Amino acid sequence: MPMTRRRFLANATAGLAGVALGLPALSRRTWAVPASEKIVVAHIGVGGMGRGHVNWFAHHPDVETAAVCDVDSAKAEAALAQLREIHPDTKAVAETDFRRLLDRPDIDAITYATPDHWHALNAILAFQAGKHVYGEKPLSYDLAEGQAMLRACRRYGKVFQLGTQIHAGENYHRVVELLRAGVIGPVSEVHLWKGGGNPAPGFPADCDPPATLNWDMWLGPAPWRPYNPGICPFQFRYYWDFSAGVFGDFWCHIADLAFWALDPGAPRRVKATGDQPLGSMVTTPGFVEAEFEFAHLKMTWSSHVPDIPGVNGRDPGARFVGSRGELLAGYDWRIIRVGGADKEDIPEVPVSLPRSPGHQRNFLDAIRKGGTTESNLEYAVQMALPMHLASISCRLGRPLTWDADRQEFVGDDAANRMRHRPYRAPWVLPG
Amino acid sequence: MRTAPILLVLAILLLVLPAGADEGFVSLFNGRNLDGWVVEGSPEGFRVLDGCLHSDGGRGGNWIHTDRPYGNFVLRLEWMLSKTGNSGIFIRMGGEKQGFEVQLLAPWTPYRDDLHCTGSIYGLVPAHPRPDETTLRWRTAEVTAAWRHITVKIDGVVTAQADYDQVAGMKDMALTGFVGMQDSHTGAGEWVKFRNIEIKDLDRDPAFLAQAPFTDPEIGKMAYDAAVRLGPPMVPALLRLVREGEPAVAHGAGLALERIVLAASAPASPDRAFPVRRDLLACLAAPGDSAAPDRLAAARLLGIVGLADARTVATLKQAVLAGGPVGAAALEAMQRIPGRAMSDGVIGLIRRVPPAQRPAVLLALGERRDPVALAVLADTVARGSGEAQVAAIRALGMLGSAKALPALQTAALNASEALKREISASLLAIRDALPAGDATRGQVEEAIKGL
Repeated sequence: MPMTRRRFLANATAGLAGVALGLPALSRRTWAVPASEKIVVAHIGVGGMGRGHVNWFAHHPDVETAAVCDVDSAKAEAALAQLREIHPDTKAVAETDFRRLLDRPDIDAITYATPDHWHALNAILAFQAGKHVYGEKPLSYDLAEGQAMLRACRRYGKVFQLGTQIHAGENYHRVVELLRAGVIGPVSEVHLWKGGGNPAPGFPADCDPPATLNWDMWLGPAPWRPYNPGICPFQFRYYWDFSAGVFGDFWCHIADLAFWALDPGAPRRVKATGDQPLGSMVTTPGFVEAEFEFAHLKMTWSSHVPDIPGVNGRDPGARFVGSRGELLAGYDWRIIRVGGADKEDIPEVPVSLPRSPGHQRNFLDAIRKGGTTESNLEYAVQMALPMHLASISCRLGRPLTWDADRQEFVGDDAANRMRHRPYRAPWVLPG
Repeated sequence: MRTAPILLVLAILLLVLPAGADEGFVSLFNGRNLDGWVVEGSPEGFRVLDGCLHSDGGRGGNWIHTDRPYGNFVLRLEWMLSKTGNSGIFIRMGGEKQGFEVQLLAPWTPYRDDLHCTGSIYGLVPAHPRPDETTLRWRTAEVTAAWRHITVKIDGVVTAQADYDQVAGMKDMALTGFVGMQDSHTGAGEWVKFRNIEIKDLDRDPAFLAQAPFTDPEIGKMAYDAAVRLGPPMVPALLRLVREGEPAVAHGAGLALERIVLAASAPASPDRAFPVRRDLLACLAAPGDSAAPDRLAAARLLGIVGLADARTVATLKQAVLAGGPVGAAALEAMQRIPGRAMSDGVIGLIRRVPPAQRPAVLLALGERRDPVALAVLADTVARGSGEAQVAAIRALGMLGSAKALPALQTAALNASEALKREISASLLAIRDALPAGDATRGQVEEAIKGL
């Protein structure tokens, strides 16, 4: 029997599966997946967005799906049924504990579309187990988690892609080229927006979770609370215990444009305010207004779509203010406003950025060929930082000063304690 | 025994005295000038005369009002009208929504009906019983505005009561606005004067706010805002509402509580944090259910604002030992609060918690990243087994100190493959935590290779 990479590993770790459950496997595999072999992928969290993951990856010819996993067994089974429609002969299995996927040496990469409070552990335990990771946004629940993810990614030498798929689109590439070419001059202000608002689940009573759902596992490292249909499924994003509302949800999509084009570094000052959601059991503000001072520019976030000519209610969006003019952009539109005239493009600006083969393909190529991804972890950590700082400022109700070198707030003990929420035992954020 | 008669006397006194009858009232008018007041219309319409706020007819004074809005309050004043004077007290006026007038009037000829006489809510609620309107003598008025309920007293007798929802024309009226007085508007020679104008701001009374009908969205928002403005004195009442309130009330109270506590954590306001910490600790220390929502909120908030003083450490430890969700939250708080005394407190828990909880306590020491825990964690790695040993290995990785190296290397000698992977993960974390060029870095890397 030829000693293929996968068989070798299977032998080396034989007998450990099961024992290792909960004890992350350490793999020293650092070589890329050879072109002759398929990349074996497993999906964690396949309720909403995760079904998209299953579908996207299943359509890449060099990918084999090994497992779909969800803390709700009904969702795992439904995702498996979906996969069978694409690949009737799939050998994939449905799991309910993602650690079983991490114990399998044949799996090269995992994707996750779990609630935000799970992202860091999904990624870090996967890195420790030698897996590459495609993770849904937002990057992490809190600030310290992003740092721990980055440490683990470097430590284990794995590929990470943040699932900001709009990054891969033509419009974002072109906007970045135009801004970097200086079509509006040096940029001094960036104004980001995404229309706000919370859902209104009212005040449903706590109750028993659905029979197929492992509620304790859904909560994972988050504080315990009884199951409530106003939280799970779907609406976990609107509770501080699990996420950071519309603001936390959309920040990385639209701030991506500013960070990619301008690389502004870390903000030094942040001031954020939000409303209080009194009428329903949700806890995050529906509307956040934030201001950030960077070394060379000012950035703002608004939960209101600005009434500026050309925007026409398009949401989300970004407005770049330069010395010579302005550039307005969203996912699939842009306006260059210089000298009183609006243009969509300036053909003289050369195409300088290589185009993405697609966000998932870009991830798979990095696994196969080595190299980095377009939404890699170093970049994602920088980009996510202002969102975390603003969430803390919003909750504390005061402006804050951030020391990027020390990774701490200046002179604010309470703010520093909020950089990380301790995990509920037995979960732990690895060092 | 000796204290009993004293207590009895005190009790009788409390019954006899109208307890705190004048408590919380502040004067709105100083008798010397119009500080704190704003005149709408001609300034000549109002002046101070003989210590009274005086308005002469025919001068175009229109009305005078407080310099800030009041939502819920008890207003008391004395007034005197000239022979055929006509004035009034304005309540919740001047905002986007309409307020109303409590009428003050002379006994006119022709006779005015009950809907437009002294003590009526002008045009909306008739006075009943109709008070004596004889002019040229001092009379008292008292208006209580409590959310959507209004009570008017003239000379100590209730003349009108209104519920916004029961009175046609009041449903959409303002719940806040200025307090004001109408000028004398029955022509030259007629006048009105006011004195002893005082107000009790109910929006600064925690007990009043705690009883707000929060289920009305507008009132819920106002009560929330008032509670947050009031700040730390509101904390005990809010904790009670978190525990006992209907879901919507408990939710709003929880949001207000967090807002107040976190605002009090500001570096510039240490004196505001003191009573907040005291009240949170009292709530957590009181006997109660280990899943009680108020104690849960108190434990979680102490993680942000608590100090490592003896009382806090003891209270949190006690809560951890009582277990349940409150115990878990207390342990989380112990992870967040810096200070050697808190580290010692967590170390002290290792032997006191049930074995099943021991790993959580060991991991908490890792999260604290206080080197003082090195010895006890190394000892647990050396002598422990099972989950406690794994937890101690992980915690040592979080501490990121090369001093953990001997304990981890010894543990690796007879370790299973699974345990070796744990040790390796911790050694990698320790290596990465060491500064570049640290002399011990090589030793840690050797240890990793040796696994």
